[in-house]
Amino acid sequence: MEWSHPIGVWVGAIGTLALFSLIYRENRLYRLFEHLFIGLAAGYTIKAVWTETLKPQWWIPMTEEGRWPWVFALAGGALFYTIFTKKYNWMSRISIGVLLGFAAGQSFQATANVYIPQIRGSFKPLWVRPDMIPEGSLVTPLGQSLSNILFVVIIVSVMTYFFFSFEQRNKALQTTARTGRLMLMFAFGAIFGSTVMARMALLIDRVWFLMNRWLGIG
Amino acid sequence: MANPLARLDAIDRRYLYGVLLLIVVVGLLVPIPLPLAVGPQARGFYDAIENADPNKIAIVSTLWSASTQGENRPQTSVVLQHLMRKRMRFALIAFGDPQSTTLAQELAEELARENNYVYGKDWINWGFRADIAGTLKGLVRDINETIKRDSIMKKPLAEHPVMAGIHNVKDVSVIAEVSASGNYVSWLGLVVGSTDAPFCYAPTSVMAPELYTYLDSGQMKGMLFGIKGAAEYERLLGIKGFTTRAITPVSLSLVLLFVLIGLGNYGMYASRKKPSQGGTA
Amino acid sequence: MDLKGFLGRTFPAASGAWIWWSIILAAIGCVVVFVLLQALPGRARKFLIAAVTFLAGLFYAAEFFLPVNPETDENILTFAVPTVGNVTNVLAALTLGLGVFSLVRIHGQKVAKLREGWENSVVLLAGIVVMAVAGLGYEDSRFYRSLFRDVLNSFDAAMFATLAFFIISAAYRAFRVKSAEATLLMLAALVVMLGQIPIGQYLTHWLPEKGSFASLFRLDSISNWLLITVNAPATRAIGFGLGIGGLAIAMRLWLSLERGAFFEAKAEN
Repeated sequence: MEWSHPIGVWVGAIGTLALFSLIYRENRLYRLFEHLFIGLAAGYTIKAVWTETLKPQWWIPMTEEGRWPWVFALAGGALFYTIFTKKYNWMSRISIGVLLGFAAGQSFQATANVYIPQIRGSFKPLWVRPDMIPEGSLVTPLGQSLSNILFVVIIVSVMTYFFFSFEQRNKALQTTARTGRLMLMFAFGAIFGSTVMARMALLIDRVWFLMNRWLGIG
Repeated sequence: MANPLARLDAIDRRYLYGVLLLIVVVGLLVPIPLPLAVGPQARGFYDAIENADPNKIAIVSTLWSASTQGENRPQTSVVLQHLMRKRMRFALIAFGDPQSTTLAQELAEELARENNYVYGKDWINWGFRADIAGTLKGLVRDINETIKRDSIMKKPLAEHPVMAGIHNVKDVSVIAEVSASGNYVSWLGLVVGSTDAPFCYAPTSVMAPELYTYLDSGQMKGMLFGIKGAAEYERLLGIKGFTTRAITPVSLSLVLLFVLIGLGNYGMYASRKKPSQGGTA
Repeated sequence: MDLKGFLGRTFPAASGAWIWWSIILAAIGCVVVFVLLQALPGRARKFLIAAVTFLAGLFYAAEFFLPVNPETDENILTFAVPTVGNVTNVLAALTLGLGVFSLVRIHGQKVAKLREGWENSVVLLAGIVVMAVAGLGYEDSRFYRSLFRDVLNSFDAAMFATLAFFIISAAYRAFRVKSAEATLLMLAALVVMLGQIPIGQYLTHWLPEKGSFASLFRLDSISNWLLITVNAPATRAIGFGLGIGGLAIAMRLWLSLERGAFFEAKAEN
């Protein structure tokens, strides 16, 4: 089954240009296509929620497999919508409480599994012997030792920077925290650069759509 | 007379937009034939699939919409191409954004036609799940009971040949997540410790730097650094797809960024005045 | 105690005509409960919300902490994990409708009262109807597929692609190197990103890619080392803070210790 149609491509291209017009200034054409986009996205959500989740996981088990207690799930879900009424909106907190409760209960396992390996991985050998270097690696034991020391120093200094339980008056603590702040700037610099890369990739995708799919260039 | 260099920090934004657009168009039309070095993260991802148990099923989990398809679509594409090249059976599952399942399915259908992959026999779409954590907890115990029906044919999962011998995550060979969100925490927290399957992650570039800590701890076996990671993977697979072409405008636009930051700062110092707006970074 | 068997006996699967009778009776039961809930006094409502939240959290917490049978690797609650996951999935899916409902309500009112910009609201509502009807009724049609792929996807991608222009403009105008922190941030972005792209890698391409000590000094190797040795511990330390904070918040939510208008004031309305 073909996923594309020339008329759809034209509408998509005109809409893309209209949405891009925002970079010059806000205008009526942009507003129009913005609303069309939100409408289509909301309509798609209705479709996807039914066909992907409610129909296979709720409707079919309930009506075809005889699992009638699934009615209670709809009742629980309906409580969310009481949020739109003044009289009954407190009931929405029952369902919200269920979801929050489930999330909180899962957090014990999730936190343990995510962070215990992280803590374990932070205790790096500060003196690396030659036999600890993986075969084929070009790094020297001294180089790896220095890397590991730097790694541990950065963790400690950044954690110190975020330690707000008491005022940091001690000179050593202040220096450590200052080092942590600088190291954080390094991490943020890497994130800044990669954020730009991500945004450029999105623009390139769109420009390629206009050039290749719409105008047939390239 | 005013110092003309002082005006370097006040270029009209429309000129900037024009230059950016120009280098993207030129970069796409005239790719610079420079090779891209393959980093250990992309190689780790590649090796995880290369060495995966062929008797088990691979999970390709997606959480992206068209908003990040510039990065996530080529990432999904190279992972699926590698799995199909290895003739490994795989299952798609989508979280977070409902678009995700349709976009991944569309891509898989396209690649399946090229690679003679049969739906239900070689691959399957488990569909979209709104709740990540509850679904992952279920997959650890019982995949058939958690997913129930596939997304395309709406048949019970167990009726598809591709699911033969697959009961829970212990029967999974490799987990590849392509995502525009931070749901790796759910995978690491609720699934990774319960299976031997290596977990690999393909995030957007924005998220990539924060994931090196999980690569260091060994919780992730590989990572694709946004569009650049997809380009590295194309090199590993020996194919020249969209990202091989796109990496030129990506490079040029980053160079433009640094040039503009340099010009802005030079203009500021040339004018010998403090900037009227903006912070230190 | 066989909890699974007990639940199976209490809620047996229906068959034939009994399916619909069971559904109708259960629905009537839900309406009765709804009426009874509304009759609860303020304090009882608050207690009910706290109890439901605690019990929901207790399920996964107990399932994690209770010892398992070494032979089956399961405990008394394990069998219910997939079903509970499906229930939360259905509940989470129903929450997605909240946004759509809200959109229809707001824009419906706008159209009905012909407020400024009502024409755009008509387009929005038409978009919802066309997409939903096409998706639910004609999922395999080329019209629906093109509407999704060519139109919706294009608009979605275009909205986010505009960020590329804004980020370039913002970086040019606002990124001023005036302090040690800003200098480091700039240098990190420069070195790391140059090491990631072919043009940057070309600067040190004359060094061997691998197999030699000199390869460690290629820009991509330096970038990678910085990401692993400097960036990773910094983000890990942030992660430790997030992990501890997240667990504390989870505990407060689970035990309904969180204070504020949402959990306290309104429940007693």
